[in-house]
Amino acid sequence: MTPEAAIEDAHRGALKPVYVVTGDERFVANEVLGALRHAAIGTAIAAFNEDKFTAGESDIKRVLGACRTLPMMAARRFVHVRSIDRWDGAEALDELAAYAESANESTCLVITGEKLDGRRKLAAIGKKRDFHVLCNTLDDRAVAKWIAARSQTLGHAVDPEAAELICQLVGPTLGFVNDAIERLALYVGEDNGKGRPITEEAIVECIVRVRTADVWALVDAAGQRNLAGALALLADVYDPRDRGLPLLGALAWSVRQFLKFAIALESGQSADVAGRAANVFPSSKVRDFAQRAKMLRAREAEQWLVVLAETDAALKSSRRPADAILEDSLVRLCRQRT
Amino acid sequence: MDLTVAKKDLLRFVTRVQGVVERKSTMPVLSNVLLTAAGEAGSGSLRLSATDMYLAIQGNLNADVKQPGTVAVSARDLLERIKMMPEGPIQIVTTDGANTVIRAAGSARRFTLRGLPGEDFPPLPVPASGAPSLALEVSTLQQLMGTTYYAVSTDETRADLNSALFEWDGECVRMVATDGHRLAKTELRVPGRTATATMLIPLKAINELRRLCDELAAEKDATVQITQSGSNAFFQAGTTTFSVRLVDAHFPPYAQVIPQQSNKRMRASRVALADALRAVSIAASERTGGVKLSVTANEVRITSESAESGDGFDQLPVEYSGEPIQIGFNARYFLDVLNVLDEDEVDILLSGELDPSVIKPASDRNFIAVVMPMRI
Repeated sequence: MTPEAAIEDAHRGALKPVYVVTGDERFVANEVLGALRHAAIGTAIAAFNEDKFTAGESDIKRVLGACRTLPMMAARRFVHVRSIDRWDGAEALDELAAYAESANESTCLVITGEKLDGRRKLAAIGKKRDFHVLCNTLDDRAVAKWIAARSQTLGHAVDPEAAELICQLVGPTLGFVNDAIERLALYVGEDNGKGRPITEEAIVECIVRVRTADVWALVDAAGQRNLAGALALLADVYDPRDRGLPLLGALAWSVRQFLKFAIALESGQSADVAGRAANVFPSSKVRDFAQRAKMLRAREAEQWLVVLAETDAALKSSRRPADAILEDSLVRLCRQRT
Repeated sequence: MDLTVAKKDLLRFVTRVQGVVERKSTMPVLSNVLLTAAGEAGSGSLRLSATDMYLAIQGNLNADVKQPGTVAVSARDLLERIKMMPEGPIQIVTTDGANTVIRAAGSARRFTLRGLPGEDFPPLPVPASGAPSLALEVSTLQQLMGTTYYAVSTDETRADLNSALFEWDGECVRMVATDGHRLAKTELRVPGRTATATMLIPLKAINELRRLCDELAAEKDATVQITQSGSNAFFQAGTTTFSVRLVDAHFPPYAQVIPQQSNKRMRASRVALADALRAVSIAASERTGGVKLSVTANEVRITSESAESGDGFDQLPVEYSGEPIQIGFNARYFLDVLNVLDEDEVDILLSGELDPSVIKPASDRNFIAVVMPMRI
């Protein structure tokens, strides 16, 4: 079952008696949970109709006792069990599976966690009865679409390039992406009661004071062993207010994306296929990546990531000036040889 | 600090503070009890204080003080050592700053405890001068807590339910507790004492107050002075003061879930019903602990069944003349209520198999319990 379908169930008020919500995309999982809780409790007194348990800490008997108890002056009782993965043994999950087969219709039991062991009976029943909601991390294309939809809900248009930029800068975790969109919406503000569009300028100003073009220019300069050029770029983009951490984050993200592309290319894939593997689009960018791959090999990019990780640790712990640490890092990148 | 105090007095109070002392706190000093000696020989006193920063207890004991002073020592270590002392007077002396020597008079037995300077102990809350204060009989407070405490939720993440509501409303004092599955309310009249107060007392404080009241109950006409000051409530009885930081939450609107009328009333012998429920629930499913009550004319059949352990059955004569009804309950919720009552007969008011049921003592209008049915 998709998160959208579960939310749709909630909006229609057609709740199933059991939902298992798993996946590493916590923002979506929380949205599903919130929608189900709202639909189950509605205007009833939550204190009398809501039970929360944490797997591993709470006894399964208490959970099932709560599920079997009828709601108090309300249509439904809402029972939430967190961290299902903390129930190590099969017993608790099998008890839940037995409950799910003859669940109390006046209770909405929502079980959340990172993962549900696919060998367990609960997973099989969840699939059969379509109550297992999977909230997995979205790929970059889907995140860009999600950004556009989310911005639209907040009343702000965002063009595909800007959405892609947000995704590139913030990463695919929707919690962070949503936070960035909300900040952007506040930043761009309204004009005559209508939300202004979210632009690249706003993104650069609001999310990170580093342009992706500058980051790729740094990658290219280091790839060409052009230390002077790389240091000059660093001097332009370094912002002492943030100790260069956003710049380093963007640099690491770009190198990781390039690494995926380079690995695919070196394994004999075409540039287009490698581009898809690394979520690089449109085709003009794929050409840039292919060009870049001629001067920077995958193995070297891997070593760059090690250098960047060490730089990150140094920026967070060393008392040395941040710009000096970043300069050292560029010197090391320019000297890397495979 | 140098003082002599009777072992039995010291042991009694050090035992009492154990429930308040916090052993797992990030502040090690909270696992200590603060000893403060004041006054002079013949008229001195030893004050003992303990806190977990939410609850605090303080008590004064008569002591022969040679040298005033203050020191904080581990509450558990102190208790263990005092227990091992022979009966009679105990001398407590601090040396080298916070090292505390405990010596039995007339015996070679002694212990040394590594303590902390008394100044390291956090200050305990004190009521503001002029804070409203009311006196309540220990027996009344004991009855309020004793008939409701079991319904307090043990879920510490839900502050509103992990506490009992104490209300003083005109000439009436009331305590209400709920965990969302059942609710208990006791209301008692205190003629001639009019006040308005509302407090949400956390479960840990309720448990400690119950112990305190149990100790005081032996004293005839013992009273507790209740003072509400800022976010704290103070309960003073004799030389002991117990303070609690009140829960800053809204207790759910409980009155809405107490059924105002029920069309079916079953009157049963409390002891016989409790006995039957206890017996039949042995065979109830481990998953739910649920039993089914089938009420027909002047008879209730109690059944339970479990896929793992078979079934159980019992039958009791009751007073009932309504339509037959079948209703499932968690047996423990019923037993908790029946166990705290002392009347011979109880009334169980039912509306439908999906509606809350009400349990009341047949002859007492002060207490009411609401239990939600289970789908079995």
